[in-house]
Amino acid sequence: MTPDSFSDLALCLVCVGILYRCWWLQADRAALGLAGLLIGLAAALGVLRFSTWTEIGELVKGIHQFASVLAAVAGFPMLALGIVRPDSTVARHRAGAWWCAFVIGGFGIAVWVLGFKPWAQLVPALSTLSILVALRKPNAGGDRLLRALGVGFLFAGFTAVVLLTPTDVVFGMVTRVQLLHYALVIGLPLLVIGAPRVNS
Amino acid sequence: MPQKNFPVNPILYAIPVFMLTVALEAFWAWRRHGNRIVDVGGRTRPIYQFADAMSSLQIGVLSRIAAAFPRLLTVGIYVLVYQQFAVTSWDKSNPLAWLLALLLYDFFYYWKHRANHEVRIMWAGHVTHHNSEYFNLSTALRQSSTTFVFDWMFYLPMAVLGVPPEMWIAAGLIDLLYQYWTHTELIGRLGWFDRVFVSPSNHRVHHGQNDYCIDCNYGGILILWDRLFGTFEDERPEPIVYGVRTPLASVDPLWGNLHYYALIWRDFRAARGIDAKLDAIFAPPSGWRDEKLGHFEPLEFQRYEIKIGKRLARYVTAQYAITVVCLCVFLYRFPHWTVTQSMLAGLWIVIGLTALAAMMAGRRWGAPLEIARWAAAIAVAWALVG
Repeated sequence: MTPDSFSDLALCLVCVGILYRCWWLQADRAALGLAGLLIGLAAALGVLRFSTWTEIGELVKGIHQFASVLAAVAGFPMLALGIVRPDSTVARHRAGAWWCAFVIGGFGIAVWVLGFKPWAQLVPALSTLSILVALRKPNAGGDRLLRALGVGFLFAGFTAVVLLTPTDVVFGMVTRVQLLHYALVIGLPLLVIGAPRVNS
Repeated sequence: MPQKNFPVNPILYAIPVFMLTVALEAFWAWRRHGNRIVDVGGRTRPIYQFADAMSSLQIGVLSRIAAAFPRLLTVGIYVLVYQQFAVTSWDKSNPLAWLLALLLYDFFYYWKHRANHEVRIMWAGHVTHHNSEYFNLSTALRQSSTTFVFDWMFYLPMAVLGVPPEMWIAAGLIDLLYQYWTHTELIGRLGWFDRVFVSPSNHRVHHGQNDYCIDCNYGGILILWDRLFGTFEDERPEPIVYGVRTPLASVDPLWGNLHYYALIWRDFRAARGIDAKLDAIFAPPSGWRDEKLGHFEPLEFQRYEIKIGKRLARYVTAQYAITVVCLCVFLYRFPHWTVTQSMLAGLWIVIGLTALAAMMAGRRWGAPLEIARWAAAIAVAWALVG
């Protein structure tokens, strides 16, 4: 297993946990569950792509890239929706969350393939920013400290992607993409555990 | 800017067949059934109603004009996704690959069609097809001019799986053309066929507004998808009332395409807070699954009917025939015209459709608009030929 594959595996396992908690255990957290599904799917394909099994890696390369863009442009907005507006019917109902993610994802993919590649970085950043802004609401419920920490980790990961080059290595062994994955591995569970309760 | 290297719309070749079969079905309905069919409460109603059928045909013309413009963009996005993400490229010389592409297309069509019924913003486009309160071949041509906004998204997984754009377009065309014949009341139940394929019987249920007809039978070619995903409903002996529960009550092709968007906009503006505004866009038109759907009483339903004199009916029919010829010219010349020329030609046809609909509805501005359109025809023709 390569280091890239390992970081994807860690992210994938965390997303499976989010999916289990928010899709099966709590049926009214569909948006968060869907965020876990989309990010987890991209991570799972990443495990295969960067594994030592090169034939499989080459085969899933396209799907992994597609799933990664989809996770960025649709997964993160669903994460933000599930945390910032947990009571909305779109965030609570599976069909609502699914179709909302579909529309946002479809347009996101279109924008990306039509040449505006920064869209896949802008959307996660804006989504995380909306979670940060929502922290200011005193009656939002949930654990604000955990959410603040989660936002911090996510922003740290995004910053690493922007500031480092693909060949840079930090802590002697971690590339920028791996750093982003590990930031998500810590940040996503903090956000989901600290998310406000659904009231209605 | 000339749009060279863009193929002629294949629908162009199907238009004569559509016109001929609509005429044949109407003839058959009159000849065999006196144009009457059993309705609720033992009454009878027409199979073809002039204003409704003409409105459907006009909406069909409008949809082809509207679809011509974004086609380059929607096909282009598919091609770009195919080029950038495709895992492999399917062998175009293998007939099995074409069959599999059609199967895949039909699968994604099912989900597209389901979303068109279960998400308000998508229903706003698709409702145009369901607004007719009659069910005949003209209803099949009553296609939306706005569903292109979301439709392409559903087929992107096919691009990622490596289905070449040519296969995707061909599969889409077959899927669309197949559904044409299922819009009729003149073909009854077909036994085993009704349980495997989309047929007139199970598609009649899809177009109904009786309680059991809501949100079911979404398939394009195979009804098996509905049986697999739990949305299948078999036709029952009770007569079906066609149409939608928020009636259009208009023959205007533009309003027929836009009325539900206006409703969403009104709800969106009235909604307090982000949650309610999201609901206005994404909620299912028939309510969330945990909400109870209102009961529909077929006996109380009043169809939208307008009386049209014979002279006006003849004039509208003749003008429609001219419009169809103009549409064929539009579709044929579209790849060669500049964008301005295409828009001018399209606008002239659309104004004609609006004028004819206004005349049918008895609007005072209908006839003056029609005269103005024909007065402008020479200038438009000069701009297109020049």
